[in-house]
Amino acid sequence: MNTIFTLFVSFIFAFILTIIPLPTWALWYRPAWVPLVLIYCLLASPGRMGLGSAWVIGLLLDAITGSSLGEHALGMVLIAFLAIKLQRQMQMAAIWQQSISILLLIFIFQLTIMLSQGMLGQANSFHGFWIPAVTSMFIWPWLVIIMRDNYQTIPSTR
Amino acid sequence: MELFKRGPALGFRLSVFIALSVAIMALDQRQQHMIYVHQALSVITTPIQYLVDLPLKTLDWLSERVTTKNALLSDNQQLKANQVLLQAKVQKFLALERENNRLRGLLQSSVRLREKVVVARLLALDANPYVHQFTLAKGSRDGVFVGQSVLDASGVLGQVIRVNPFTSQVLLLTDTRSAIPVENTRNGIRGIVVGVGDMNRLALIDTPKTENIKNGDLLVTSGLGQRFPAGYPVGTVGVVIHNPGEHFARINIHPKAQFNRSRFALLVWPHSKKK
Repeated sequence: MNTIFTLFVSFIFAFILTIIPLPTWALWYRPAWVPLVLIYCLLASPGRMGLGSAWVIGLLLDAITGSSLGEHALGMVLIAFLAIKLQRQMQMAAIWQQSISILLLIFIFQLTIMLSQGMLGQANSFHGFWIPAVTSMFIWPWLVIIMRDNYQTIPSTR
Repeated sequence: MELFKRGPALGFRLSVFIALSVAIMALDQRQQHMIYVHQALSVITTPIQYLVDLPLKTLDWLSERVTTKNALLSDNQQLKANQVLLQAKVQKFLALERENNRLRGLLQSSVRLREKVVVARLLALDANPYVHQFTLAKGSRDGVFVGQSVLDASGVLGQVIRVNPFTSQVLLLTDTRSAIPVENTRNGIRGIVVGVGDMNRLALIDTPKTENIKNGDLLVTSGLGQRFPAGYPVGTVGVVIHNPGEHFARINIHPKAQFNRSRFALLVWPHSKKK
């Protein structure tokens, strides 16, 4: 019960950080908060969340960012799949090694969104689509530290 | 539970969800059936949007509360002076409007009706650097409808593209998906202005090189296409490039509206449409 509440609150926080206003130059530097929290939950408590919940959260992300439905949902499902596949390796790895996997996963997420928005003819500019992958990589260790303290009910490694 | 469902089942579910996402994207592009899904999702997303907007609103409220009496008094005086000036202009404008409508009556063309305008606040959010959109703090509860024109104090901002019960999404003129029919106030030449994905620039497209359009001309909405009401300023003509190798002139437009500085927007209701 407690864990579900923590999950709920951390996703709400991720959504808030996703839409909080930033100066125009900083827009591309915003880390992909919701995918990061999703990856953490998939690693920390395998089985609690799966592709279905990732998809629903992706739909919410679509609605809150005002894009066409399905774009972020597609990206979220893809990285959830990869995170479940990489679960064992990532759980054993050191945090900085995890960061490198995060770089790859968020890059795939951003690439999916860029491609789908490009195909729907919506995007105005693509030039910075890869930057969130880099900022997410640097945010990951801090996210792990914060989440670990509030997420004690499940051991982070098996 | 899902721990034991790995293997082929996971791959199968992945392909199901991918197919579902693509199907929803295609459906949403047509913009008819998915409106209910959008509204259902907005039940969850609207509170979060208002929550993010709250601190800024509070800050505004606080700065209003803690200003000095002198500042308020000087503000008040300035506003009063402004109001007198504007009312003097409106008097003249009313006489002109009546005369204009009488002349239009003589010419047997349709009389221009005045539109109803309501102020709406922008929610302080930005999430999507790919698109030029913003969120208004008014929705279908306030009678906002898809296709409605949105202005600011100096010109046209864009149009409403999606309506939820309490919020609505506005597509700015600068977005590459946006187009607006305009006419030149100097000589009545008509054209279409599109966005190019740049906040400080629009483009007038498909104008033959022989057309008389000069740097500094004011373009206003022509009212053709029945979407934007006629007569609101869109922008002034900037550089006009005549390239001998191209059929059309390349014309840059400086937009009148302040896309990245507006805090308030004006929603326009055409007079015939009952709210």
